[in-house]
Amino acid sequence: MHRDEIPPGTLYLLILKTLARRGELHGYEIARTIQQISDDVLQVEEGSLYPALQRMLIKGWVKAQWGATPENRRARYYRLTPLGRKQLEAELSQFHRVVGAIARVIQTA
Amino acid sequence: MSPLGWLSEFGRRLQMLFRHKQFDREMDEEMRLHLELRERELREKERHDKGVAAEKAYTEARKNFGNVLVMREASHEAWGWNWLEQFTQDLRYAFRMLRKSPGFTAVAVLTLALGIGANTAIFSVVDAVLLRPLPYPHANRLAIIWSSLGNEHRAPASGYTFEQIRERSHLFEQVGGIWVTNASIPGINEPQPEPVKLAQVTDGFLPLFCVKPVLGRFFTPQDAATGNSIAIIISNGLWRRKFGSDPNIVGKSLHIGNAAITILGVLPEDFHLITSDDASIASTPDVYTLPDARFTRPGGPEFLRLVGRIRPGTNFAQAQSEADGIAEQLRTTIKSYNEQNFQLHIVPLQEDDTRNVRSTLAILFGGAGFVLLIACANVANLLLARAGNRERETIVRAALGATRGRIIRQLLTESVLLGFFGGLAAIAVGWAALRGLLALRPESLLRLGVIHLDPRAFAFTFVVALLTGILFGFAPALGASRIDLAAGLKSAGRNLSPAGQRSKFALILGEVTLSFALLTGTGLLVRTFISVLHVDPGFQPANVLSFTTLGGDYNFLHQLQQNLSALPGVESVSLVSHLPLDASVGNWYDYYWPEGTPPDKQSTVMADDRSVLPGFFKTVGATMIEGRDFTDTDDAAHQHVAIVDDVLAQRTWPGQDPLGKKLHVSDSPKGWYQFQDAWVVVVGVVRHVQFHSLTVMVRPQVYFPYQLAPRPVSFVLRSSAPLPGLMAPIRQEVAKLNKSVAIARFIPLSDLVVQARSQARFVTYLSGTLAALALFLSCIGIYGVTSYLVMSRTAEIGIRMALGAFPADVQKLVLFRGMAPVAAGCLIGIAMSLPLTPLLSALLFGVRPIDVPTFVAAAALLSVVGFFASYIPARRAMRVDPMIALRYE
Repeated sequence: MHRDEIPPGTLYLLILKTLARRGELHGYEIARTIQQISDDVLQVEEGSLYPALQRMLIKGWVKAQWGATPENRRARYYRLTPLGRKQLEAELSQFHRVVGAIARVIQTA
Repeated sequence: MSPLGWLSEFGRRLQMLFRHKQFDREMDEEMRLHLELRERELREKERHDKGVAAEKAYTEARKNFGNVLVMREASHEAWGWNWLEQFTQDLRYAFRMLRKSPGFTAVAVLTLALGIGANTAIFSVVDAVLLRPLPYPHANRLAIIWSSLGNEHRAPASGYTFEQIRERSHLFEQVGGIWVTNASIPGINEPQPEPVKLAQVTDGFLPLFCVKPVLGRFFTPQDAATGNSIAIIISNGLWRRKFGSDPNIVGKSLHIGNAAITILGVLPEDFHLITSDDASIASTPDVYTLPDARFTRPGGPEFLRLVGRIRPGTNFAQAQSEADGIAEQLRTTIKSYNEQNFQLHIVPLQEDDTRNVRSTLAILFGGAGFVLLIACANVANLLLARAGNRERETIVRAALGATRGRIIRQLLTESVLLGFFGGLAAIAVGWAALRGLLALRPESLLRLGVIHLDPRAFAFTFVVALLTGILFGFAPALGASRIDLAAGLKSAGRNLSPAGQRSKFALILGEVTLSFALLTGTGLLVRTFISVLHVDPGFQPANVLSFTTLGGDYNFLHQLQQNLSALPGVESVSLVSHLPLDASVGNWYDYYWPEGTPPDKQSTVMADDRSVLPGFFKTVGATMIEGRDFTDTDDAAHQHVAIVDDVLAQRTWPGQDPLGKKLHVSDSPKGWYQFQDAWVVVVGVVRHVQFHSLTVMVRPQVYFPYQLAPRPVSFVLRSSAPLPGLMAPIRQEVAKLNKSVAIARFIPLSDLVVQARSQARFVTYLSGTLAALALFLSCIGIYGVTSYLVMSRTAEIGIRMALGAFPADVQKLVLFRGMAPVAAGCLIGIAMSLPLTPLLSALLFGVRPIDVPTFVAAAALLSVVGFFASYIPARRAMRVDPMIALRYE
């Protein structure tokens, strides 16, 4: 099966959106959710999730807390902060702007 | 981003820095969990489909994940502490490198310690004296207010002037005046009086300098002396010394005759007055009292030194223009103010206090800066030599992929670390230097602040150390990082590149130039000091003892003069109201003019006035040029007479014989503070005596017989017997005549001369030390470079000798190489010193700033030192054995 690399720069958007929709998730759950929702089309290089999460922690968009998985394993759960929610809105509107523009270019072509 | 957001982000980054071990662990755990969960999922999926080996799921999970190490690195980078990790790496490496060559490290650290330590010591002085604010409330708003009277621009104010300023000024929130004299006070139950410094202060004065007294209160205008009751405030020292720190002292009274003296308050322990030395204000007066209210009438004596505090939000320029307006109003309304062309000058207090030492300190600081530059050049030279030896190391690092920036950063870390150790050692050097410096007792500086090594000096030292580390490390690091990899790997050369040679030459040239400037400056100061040692002060201080008496009238003083003359060994005895070169008492001076002077010319010639008993000139060894000395009958009942010095005679009656001429005096002659106009007849002319300074003629003098102008006085005795042995008999004689007279101080006149020289001595010693340091460091520098030259060219020398060069030729070659930068440095040094030495003018006496012998001596000294520094390596070169040298290659 063919999988598409996610477009550069949208990883933050995907993580933010995922967390906004599902609340608290640990890293693996985030990766899985992105794949499942996109019907396995979007493929994150899974490891790159973690540096991205670190950067988001620094920016204060997400908060991390250690908790237990249903199978009682220690896992770090990430949650959106109000700042992260604002960032999500900003990224979304930017995304729509770009996609809209691209669509218009394609249609007129 | 908002500042708050930035701050909290920085806070999170900091957390990461301090808990990075935990961060790493947590990230590992997180990623491990991810891999395991993914592996399990894959396995379940595969089993569901076909059932496949566990290894495949394992590799698949890892393939999907990517490189764990790379992710970890990327996360690390995200936190932004990469540079710190590299820095600690560099630091550890630098430590190892310095430990590996202890000889190099020791020489470099010592050199830096000397250079930086000199700066630490002088900075401590500059900081205490010039930079730190005065220890008073709102010290930056305090100003001293000088009056201009005729030609005198730093004159005190009369009580009337003070009242006028206080009434008319809106910009000063407080103005106070002070005048300090000698006096004595009795104890509570003891008749024996104690000599004290008595300050007459207006009620607004003390609050300018002190927040509040430790006991009691400050003066209010209602405390002004009424009849026989006098209110005083005492110093903490007097309170402890004389009243045993009595906590209930406030309100207690002392009695002198009929007068009752009530103690109003006690000042804090650290209270002291810092004022310009020509203000004649002792730093710690013992007793403060309000001045006599009579002094506020117009035309009263000018004696008050005024200090004011401007309101917050105003500046001194505004205060000056307001004062100009007040002065103009006074000139238009009062005739005498107009005749004297009265002006007011507002000077910030600290600026006024330090006006005589600022340039001196700036020059010494500059000199210390030169020494530091020389030290830097030396260390840079050492580093250059080492860079040659370490070339292979740098080349290997570069070959392994280190960028040029990374190599420079690493080398700079090393030099900054070296600078840091230099700074540490500099604290010790600075401490020792400061002790030596304070041992010279530079009174003019000690008055102005507490000089010690404090955190500010430490901070200064380390900032300087850091900057020097970068300064001396930068050029060598740049040079070392400029590598031709291909050529370098083939043969890491032992020989220094031509560029390296050139920079070494330039560094030595710079050192010699700076040393030359320091040597000429010091040479000029030494010549000044020699001139000061040989200056004729107008009197002969050897074998003259002085002591100051407090209390007693003419009869007592006259009788004491007779009795002391009879002591064994005493040749002559007299007294004077102001000892030569004694800065501890207030000076008396005024305008004097001859008969027939129009009012607008009366305020042109100013002279110090002195009260003396007959025999004063003989006792201190002043020279009578013509006329006669005073006699015991020169009193108010006879013709009023005066003796002038040759300077006053020349200024008042140029080209005429002053004897028999009449001179106008506006103070004296009927007792203390009885200021009346009168004419006196000149009966004698004496050669000028340097009363204020050994090097500057401040004012001429006029002398009056004590009976016409009674003042607080000091006795002078010329004796052939040792002076210390006279003290006990003098005390006995004084006590025999009058038990209520106190003796304030015994001091030989020669001590006053030594004190007067202290500034010149201090500056000379200090600049001498700096120049010696510079010479020493340059010598080491020249030696080091020449030695290195010989070492790195051993092979070449060997070949030359093998081809038949004489050892003497080789020696000449090396000597020439060593001496070339010295000669060039001297030439540039001359060019540099020509504009620099005139900056010293204010400190020089008896020598002109551009002094050929000094310049020649500096060049000769540097050449000799340079010669010996290169002679030793040259001898070594001469003894090179061609066989060994060639085989070594």
